[in-house]
Amino acid sequence: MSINPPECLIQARGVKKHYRRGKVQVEALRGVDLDVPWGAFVVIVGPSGGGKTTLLHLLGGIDRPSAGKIRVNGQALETASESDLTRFRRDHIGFVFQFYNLLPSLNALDNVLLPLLAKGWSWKKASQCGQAFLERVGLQARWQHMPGELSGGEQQRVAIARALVGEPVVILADEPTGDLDSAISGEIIQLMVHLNQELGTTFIVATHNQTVCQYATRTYEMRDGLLYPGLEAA
Amino acid sequence: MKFFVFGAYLFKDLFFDRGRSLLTTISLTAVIVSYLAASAISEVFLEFGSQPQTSSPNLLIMSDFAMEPMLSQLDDSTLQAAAGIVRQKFGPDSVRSAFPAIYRSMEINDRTMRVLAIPRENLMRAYRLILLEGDWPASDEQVVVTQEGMHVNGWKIGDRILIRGSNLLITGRVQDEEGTSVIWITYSGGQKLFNAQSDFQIGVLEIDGSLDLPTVQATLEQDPHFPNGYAVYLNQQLYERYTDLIRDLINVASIIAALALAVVIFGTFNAASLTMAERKRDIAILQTIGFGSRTIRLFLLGRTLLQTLVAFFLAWVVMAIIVKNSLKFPMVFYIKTANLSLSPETLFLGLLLTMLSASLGVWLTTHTQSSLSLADQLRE
Repeated sequence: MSINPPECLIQARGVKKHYRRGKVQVEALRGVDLDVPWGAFVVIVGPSGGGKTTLLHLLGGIDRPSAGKIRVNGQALETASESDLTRFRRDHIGFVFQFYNLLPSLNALDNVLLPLLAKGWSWKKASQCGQAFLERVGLQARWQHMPGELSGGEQQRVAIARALVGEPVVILADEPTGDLDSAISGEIIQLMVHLNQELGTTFIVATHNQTVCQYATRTYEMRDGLLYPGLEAA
Repeated sequence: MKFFVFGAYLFKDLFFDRGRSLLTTISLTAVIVSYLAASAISEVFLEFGSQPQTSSPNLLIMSDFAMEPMLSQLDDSTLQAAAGIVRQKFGPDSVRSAFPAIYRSMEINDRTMRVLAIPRENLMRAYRLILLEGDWPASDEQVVVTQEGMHVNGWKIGDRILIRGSNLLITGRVQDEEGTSVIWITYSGGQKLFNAQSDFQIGVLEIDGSLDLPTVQATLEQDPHFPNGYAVYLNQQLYERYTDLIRDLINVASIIAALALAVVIFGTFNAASLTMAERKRDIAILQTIGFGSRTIRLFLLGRTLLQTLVAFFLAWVVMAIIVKNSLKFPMVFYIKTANLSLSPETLFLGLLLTMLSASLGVWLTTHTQSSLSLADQLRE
């Protein structure tokens, strides 16, 4: 197993993950290799329970692999301490979840500011930056609204702004359209593609929606804990 | 995270969750009020059961029913026989005076009060009452009342008290360090009031102060000439007999105080833990974004402590109102007023315990949660 191509943002080799669910040992990942270049828009498709979420959690430093190596922007995740992983997530990763995961007690802008405040930014500076990112996702007029006052699509836009505001090297999106109707799903995917092209931020999108593949620079299929390369876009 | 931003988010969070925040604060307030009230009652009983020294320690009391002097019945010959025995053993000047006392416990204005009738000169000399205001009784229809009795009944000098159909004039207010409600009347006035001819309830021997009173008491009790069936005790012991009757209340008060401590510890801990349990998902999201567990813990701790502080302040206000009202409408146990009060020690201990319990609740809950992986927390 060699780890090297320097042009790769993410390199994973022989990544395995197993955990216990009650008395049952679950093999979520059974040896995954992955290379993601800078600025890519990677789509991982596959059925539920195939291991997509587990892989994103490992790449994002939310969980640790049972075996194998993961490098993200040169940082080894499998040996990182808990506090190193917290810093890693703060400085390098943006997450977008299926159910948005916004804090219900904070308005749209306050939610967007969280990654910047975690970095110790001043309120004023963070606020200006947050407003700019809300504008990018088309929600500048709704910054004061609470999550409960926003539609599903709007909440996901806020979540995307929050994921991007800290200028991470990669956005990990786990079923970002899973809770949205097809029209809104299309808008959200278009938004992510646009931001990928405009900002050059790498996106890894895990979805069971095959239509997203048409926007990908690289596609993979995940089945039974194994990752199979798909067609590479031109 | 900057302190100002930290505080702003804390208040936003509390405001957003105001329904639940209010409910938590109210339940915490109730818990803390319970603690403060139980502690205050406990302190009252503790003070109630303490044994203050009487101002007339050289008095020996005789009665034939030691538990309740009101049921006792003596006559002058028994009293004089006892005085003779003491004079014989300890010298002719060992007994300065021997006098009768009519003793009653009565319901006046729905409060139990003690009425004591003794010869007028002994109010000042033997019992050493201190006149705080007004005059000593000049006739059989005049009385002096202890300041406690005046206070709980709202009486003032010049008021009249109706007892057994007699309109008695209050001429003076006397000090009573035992804090009891007593109406003092002259012996002849007591005889008329209670229609008592030759018998009385207790006999009082005023003993020379240079003698050892317990020795005199023991000698008298063991003398073969001393009539059977009579009890002799010190004036101090008479008061102690009452406090003995309520001594169990002190034990009850101690149990209440212990329960109050348990309530405040577990109540606060529980409220803090519940709040944290409802925040599990938010905690996981903040961790995912990149907030350290220390920052999150500080945030939750600040939130909980703020709620606890507000609850403590509210509880303190509620208790202050209760204490103030208890002074207006005092609780009277037997003939003694129980004044509720909040000592600084009780307040400080309560504050300390609530803060510690709340902190423990936050720490334990977040600690338990941090033992789960972040992935598991997000899956939950």
